[in-house]
Amino acid sequence: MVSNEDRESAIDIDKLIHEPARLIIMTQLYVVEEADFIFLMRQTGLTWGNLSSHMSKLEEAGYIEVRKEFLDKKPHTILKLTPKGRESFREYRKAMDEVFKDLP
Amino acid sequence: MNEEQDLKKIEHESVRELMQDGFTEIMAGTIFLFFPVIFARPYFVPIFVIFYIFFLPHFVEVVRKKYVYPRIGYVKLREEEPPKVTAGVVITVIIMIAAGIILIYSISIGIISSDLVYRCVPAFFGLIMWAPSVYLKDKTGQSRYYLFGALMTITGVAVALADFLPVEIVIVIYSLSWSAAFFVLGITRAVLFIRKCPVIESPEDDSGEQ
Repeated sequence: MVSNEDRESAIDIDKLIHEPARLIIMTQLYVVEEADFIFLMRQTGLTWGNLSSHMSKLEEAGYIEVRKEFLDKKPHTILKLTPKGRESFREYRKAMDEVFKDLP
Repeated sequence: MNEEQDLKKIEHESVRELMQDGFTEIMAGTIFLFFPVIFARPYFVPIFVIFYIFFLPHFVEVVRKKYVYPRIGYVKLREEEPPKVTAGVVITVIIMIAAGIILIYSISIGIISSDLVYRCVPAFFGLIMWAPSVYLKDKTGQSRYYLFGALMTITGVAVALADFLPVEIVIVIYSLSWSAAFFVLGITRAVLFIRKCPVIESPEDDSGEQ
C-alpha cells in the first residue's frame, strides 16, 4: 500500500500554476510571445482585479516578466513568460501527464 | 486528455483574434496591385521588396496600435524557428533554379514561346498561393483558407486558357481582379471588426491617473 508521503513525493505538481485562473494565464502566455492586459482579459475571461492579483503572484515567482510602458499617454502593461516560467509550465505538463498516465 | 491539441486550439484562437482586423487581406491586395508593374518592369523589384519588408510592417504596426490594440488588446505571436536546411531543401532549390534557367534559355532560343509563358504565369502563381493557404490554415485552424489556393489556381488556369484575351493583359486582369477581391474582403473585415469590437476602457487608465 502506498503511503501518503510516497504518493505526495511521487508526483510534484506546481501548485502555483495548478490554480485554475493562473493555469489559464500561463497557458495563454505559453502559446504567444507576449500579450497585454486587455488581450489576456478577453481570452481568459478574468476581470482586471483577478488578472492583476494572479499576475503579481506569477511575477513574484519569476514565471512572468511584466513590462509597463505608455501607449498614447496611457499606461500599458505587457506580460511575457520568462524562460523559468516556460520551463516550469513544461514540467507542470509532464507532471499532469504522469498523474493521468495509467488511467484507462 | 490531449494537451497538444488544446494548446494548438488556444494558439489558433489567438491568431484568429489578431487576423480579424482585415490587414492580412489588405496587404495581399497591395501585393497583387503592384504585381503587373513588377512583372513588366523587374527593376522595381528591389524597391518593392524594401517597401514591403521595411516600411509596410512599420506602417501596419502604427495603424494597429491606434485602431486594433485598443479594441482587442496587444499580442505578439511566437516566431517560428527557421526551417532546417536539409539535403531535400537544397536539392529542391537547385532543381527550381535549374528549371528557371532552362525555361529562360528555351524562351531565348525560341523553343518555348514567350507568349505561352506569359499566359501560364497566373496559373503558376495560383499554384504558389497554396503555400500561404496551407500556412494560414495551419496557423488559424480554419480550412476555409484552402479556398484561396483553390480559387487562385482555378482562376489562374482559366485566364491562361482564355485564348480570346490578349497575352499582354492576362497577368494584369488576373492580378488586378484578385487585388480588388482582397481589398474588398480586407476592408469588409476591418469595418465589421470596428463595429464588433469597441475600444475597451482599460482599468489601467484609471489606476495610472491615481
